[in-house]
Amino acid sequence: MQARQADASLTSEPRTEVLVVGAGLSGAVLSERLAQAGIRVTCLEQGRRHDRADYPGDKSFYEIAALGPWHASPNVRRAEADYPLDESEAEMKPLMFNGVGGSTILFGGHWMRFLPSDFRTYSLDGVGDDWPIDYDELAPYYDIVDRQFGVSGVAGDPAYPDRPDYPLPPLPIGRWGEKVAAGQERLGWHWWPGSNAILSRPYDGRRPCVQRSACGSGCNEGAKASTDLTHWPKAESAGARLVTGARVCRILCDGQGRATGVVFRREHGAEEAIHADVVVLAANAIGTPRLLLASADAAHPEGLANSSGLVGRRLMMHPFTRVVGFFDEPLGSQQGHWGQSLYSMEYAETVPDRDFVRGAKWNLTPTGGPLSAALFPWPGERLWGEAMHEHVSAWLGRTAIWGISCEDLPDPENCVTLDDALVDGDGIAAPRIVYRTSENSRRMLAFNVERATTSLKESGAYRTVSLPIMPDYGWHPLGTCRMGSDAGASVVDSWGRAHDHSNLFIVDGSVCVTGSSVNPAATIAALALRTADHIQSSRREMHA
Amino acid sequence: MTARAGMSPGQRRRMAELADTIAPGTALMPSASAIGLALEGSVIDRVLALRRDLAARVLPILDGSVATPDPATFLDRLERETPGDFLVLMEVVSGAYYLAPEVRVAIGYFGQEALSLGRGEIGGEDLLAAMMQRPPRWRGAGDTRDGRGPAAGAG
Repeated sequence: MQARQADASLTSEPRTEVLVVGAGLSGAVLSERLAQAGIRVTCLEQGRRHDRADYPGDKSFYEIAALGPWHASPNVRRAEADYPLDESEAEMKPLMFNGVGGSTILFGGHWMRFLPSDFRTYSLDGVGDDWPIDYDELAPYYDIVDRQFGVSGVAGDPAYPDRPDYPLPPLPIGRWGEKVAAGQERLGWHWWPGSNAILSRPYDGRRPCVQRSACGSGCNEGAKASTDLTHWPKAESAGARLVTGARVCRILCDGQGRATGVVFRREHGAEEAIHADVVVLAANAIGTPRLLLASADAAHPEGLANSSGLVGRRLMMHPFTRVVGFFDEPLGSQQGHWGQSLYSMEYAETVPDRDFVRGAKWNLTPTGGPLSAALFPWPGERLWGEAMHEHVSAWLGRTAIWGISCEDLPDPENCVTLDDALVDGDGIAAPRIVYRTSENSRRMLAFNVERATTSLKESGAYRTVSLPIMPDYGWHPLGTCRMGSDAGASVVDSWGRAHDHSNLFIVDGSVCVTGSSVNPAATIAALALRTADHIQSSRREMHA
Repeated sequence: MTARAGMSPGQRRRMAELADTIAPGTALMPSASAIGLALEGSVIDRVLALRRDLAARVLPILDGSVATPDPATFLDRLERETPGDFLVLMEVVSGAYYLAPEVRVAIGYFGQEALSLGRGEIGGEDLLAAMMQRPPRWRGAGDTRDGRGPAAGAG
């Protein structure tokens, strides 16, 4: 195995203080924070910048484009910037986007904090592991990222500790939301207006939401927070350098185990190198372990940062499904923010008399246009012929969907490894995803589908349709480089610093110890900000 | 000579037959052939131009379908034996059908429209006020392992 020390023959970019791999959610938050502090930051992003005028949401062909070139699966989208995934053993399939803004370009903007219990699952429920930090430690960072992203919502949710007001008032919950809120109230079940990183008012130079419901393929208005809008302009104004079309091949290490930089290819060209005092990985919970494993060298034959053997392991994906409720009146639910109209934490916490531990978060959403109806996998029903017309007629503007996001517990057998055969456009081994849904998750899904069905019927739905699981909706890969205090049982410390490499940090969802049931973007952003502050405050120590 | 979007005249005829079976005419809805779905320069060509990935996959499906002349029999078999191909065909035909202006008029859908947000209520305010009065339900560090801790919400 060849050594991975810096090769003097490689063309080099100018040295930088902090090198960031990935310009998505966490990379942008960290880069902006460090650049504002006067630190020289260079970020390498394998994708490109996108013009929001190109997003399909305001085009007549929106739905058919969203299923292809703007699909959230790289295996469907197959864009130049993407790398393929071997999903042959994945019961949940990861979704992501490669480009400036990363997956925030296509995410729904559901902006949720982890629950306090999420940081203490072992102490409270005897499963998973406790984090080395707790909710209170992260709370000030949550407050800051709420303002950075321009979150709309209402404080006072009894499912959460007290918190400051959101920077913006909530978005309307829609007629479907009013119906379901009333149903939840009659059942005595929790609900709350959705908190969304989507503007309800003009904010920070961005325009408010126009309820086009096309968040999942990019927001034409710029109302949904994506870091190409919320962070990169400020980061670059403060001096951060963002290099697009630059795919990192491997991380370089010196003989003392310090990261010295990375080797990358620009637009599939020759290998180049860039050297840095600090290397930060922000490539998501699939891309980051892939890169660490691909950086194996003679001194680190199992990959960098991997003395624990946990790089790539404990992959969590939030097993997901939906329950659709059909109402006998027009609700206008083909429009709205997507985005969550409401959420419910009624079944998010462990209750002893259930046959599973931990819980699920529900989010109520609008339901889109005719293709959403025609191509929904209607269980046991024909999709074509008069059935297609009936499906669309019953669905369009007259439905509401509870999305059910389940907390899956970390399992070392669920993992990201390097594929033996599949490679990306630069010849780098593709990630191979192994993910099996646990019995606990299956029971949790079944229980929550039944309860969400009850909710929609109580809300007035004359019919509901559901699926046991929707494997193609792996929006939230997490946990593949967990943080912890014990270097033998974790990859990074509580600041995201690799136990094995004193100047190598990880800031994406890889570091999560457990996954919560809620959407992780706010937590990933808060953790990245906290790591940025740590890098800033410990800068002299790291240089030494 | 190959027609636009890569479909030969024979493939286009077969597409029209299958599309009429997938989207038949009803009292409320036009059939695929009534909107000229498979004609050259029509919505099917728009879809296949936009979705080259589908174009590459749907043509062999059309070619393979001629061995089963009855469209309904073919669709049943395709769905049962090669569900991935079935979904490709469904995506192409329904994608084109619901792009057609006549169809959009019939279902009252005109694309995802830009709407102005009101500055008034968000909806459900009375219900929200009631929910705000509920006791805390989150579990903190002082809670117990059985989930029935005495201090739920007390941190």
